[in-house]
Amino acid sequence: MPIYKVWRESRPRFLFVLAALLLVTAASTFYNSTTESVVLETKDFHQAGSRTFQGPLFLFWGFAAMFLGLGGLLRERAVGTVDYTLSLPVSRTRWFLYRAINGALQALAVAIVPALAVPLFASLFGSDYPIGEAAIHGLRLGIGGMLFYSIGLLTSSLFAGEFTSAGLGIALVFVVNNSTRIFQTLKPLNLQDAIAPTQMMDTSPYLARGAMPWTGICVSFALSVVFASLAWKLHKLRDF
Amino acid sequence: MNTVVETTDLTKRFGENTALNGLTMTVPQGGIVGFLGRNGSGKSTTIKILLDVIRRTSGEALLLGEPTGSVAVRRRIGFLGEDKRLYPYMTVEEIIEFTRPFFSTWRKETESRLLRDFELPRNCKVSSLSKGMRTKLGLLLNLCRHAEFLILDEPSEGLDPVVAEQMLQSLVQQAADGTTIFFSSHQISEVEQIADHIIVIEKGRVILQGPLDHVQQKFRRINLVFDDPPPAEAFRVDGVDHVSLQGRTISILASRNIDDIAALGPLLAAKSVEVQPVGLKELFLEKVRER
Repeated sequence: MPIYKVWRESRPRFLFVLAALLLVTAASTFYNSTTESVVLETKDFHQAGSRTFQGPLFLFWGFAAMFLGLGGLLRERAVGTVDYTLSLPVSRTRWFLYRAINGALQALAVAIVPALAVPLFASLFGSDYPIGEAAIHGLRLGIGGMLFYSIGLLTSSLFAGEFTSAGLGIALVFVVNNSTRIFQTLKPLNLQDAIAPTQMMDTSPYLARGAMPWTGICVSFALSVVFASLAWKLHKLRDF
Repeated sequence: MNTVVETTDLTKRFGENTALNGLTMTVPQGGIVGFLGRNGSGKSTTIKILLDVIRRTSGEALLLGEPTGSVAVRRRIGFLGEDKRLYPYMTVEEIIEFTRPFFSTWRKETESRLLRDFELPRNCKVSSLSKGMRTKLGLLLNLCRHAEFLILDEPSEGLDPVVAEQMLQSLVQQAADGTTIFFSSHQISEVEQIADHIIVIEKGRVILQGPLDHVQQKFRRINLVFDDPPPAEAFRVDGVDHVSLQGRTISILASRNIDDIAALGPLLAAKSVEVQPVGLKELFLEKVRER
């Protein structure tokens, strides 16, 4: 049924993204663990893991989530299958809903699975990283960063070309992110800061001890719902 | 007469370009309806509006008595597009299993028969099928659901004559089972071969529609040969659709008053008068040329 189609359609993309993020996480964790003196001395992976969550995993996951938002009916028009899809007894809203949910779950999975891989990598190095800690970081990234995914969802509802959609999404994030670094008044719009675990980290054990950055996460999630609603409206109204 | 499609003043504009310009047509229930028109005449646009792939600018379109876009109606129809594009990432078996649950009227025995007759490789990816094989798969996906109404957009486009003939025979068989078939085509010969009813459109408007045999009986070609320069203007009378002059011969396409028009010949000193039936191709070309 519809969910089977959206899953089959997105499966190669999802598996590719998952493999890439696992690779990035592994590379980052091992790199940090071999360069940070605290890790080398104490065999304590906490700082290496924390750096991975805040840096490379956040950055690559953002692009990956946007990538997972691509596809859909407009893309199907470009490849010529949209007529068959829309001739089936499924409304445009349902097609959109299934795709959006499938993609959101995949985006969440590619945040959580690499995050949970950090404890595994730590154990390979003869050290440890708490699984609960990794799960919290993965969830924070997946839910708070859903905005990246919804940008992909929205651009794919505007442009049929995958490269155009992805390029525009990345350009948008790049412009907004840099603007928030340059102009102090725009600082609250920086997603990385808004959902970053900085305030919840205890830098001594490099573990989360404070409150989750709920405000940033909620604002980001609300914005992603707005973007997804816009994408749905476009799907309902436009010609394919 | 029960109808499966009814459009009234259907208009579709893409920016400055008008694809459909007040299209009013009726597709009767039962049989095979050929939908003819030149490239860009609005055939595919009409089909896409019926499927709700694109939205009309104005006018009305009813499919099986309900507005286009109704999900319930789509359970009762089938569609095969010009490119026969199907999901390339699925295998033949997967796309059949994906499509089957949408249709409660799906016939498993038809599926088995067509898989055998069409020699479709179950485990082969759709992306590796030839256009002919994709057409057969598309037909299977549509014929098995036993739809009330089947829409086909240029179904024989790009097919070799053997596959095209196999497809036409499948459509005839399906129509005999009670499905109304509506197919657009450039191939006038295949429309003549299987259609019971035709609709011709040009520049987004219907220029001819009706049962094929009725249309063919209605129109006649009247050729008149004169010794002197022929009085073409004298033949612009009621019932004449088109008059063409070639040397001393006047050729008239008429749809009414055939006998009266032919009788004018001897009165105007025509040397010979010949009344002939008109083929669909000739009629199509004349009608399209008129505009």
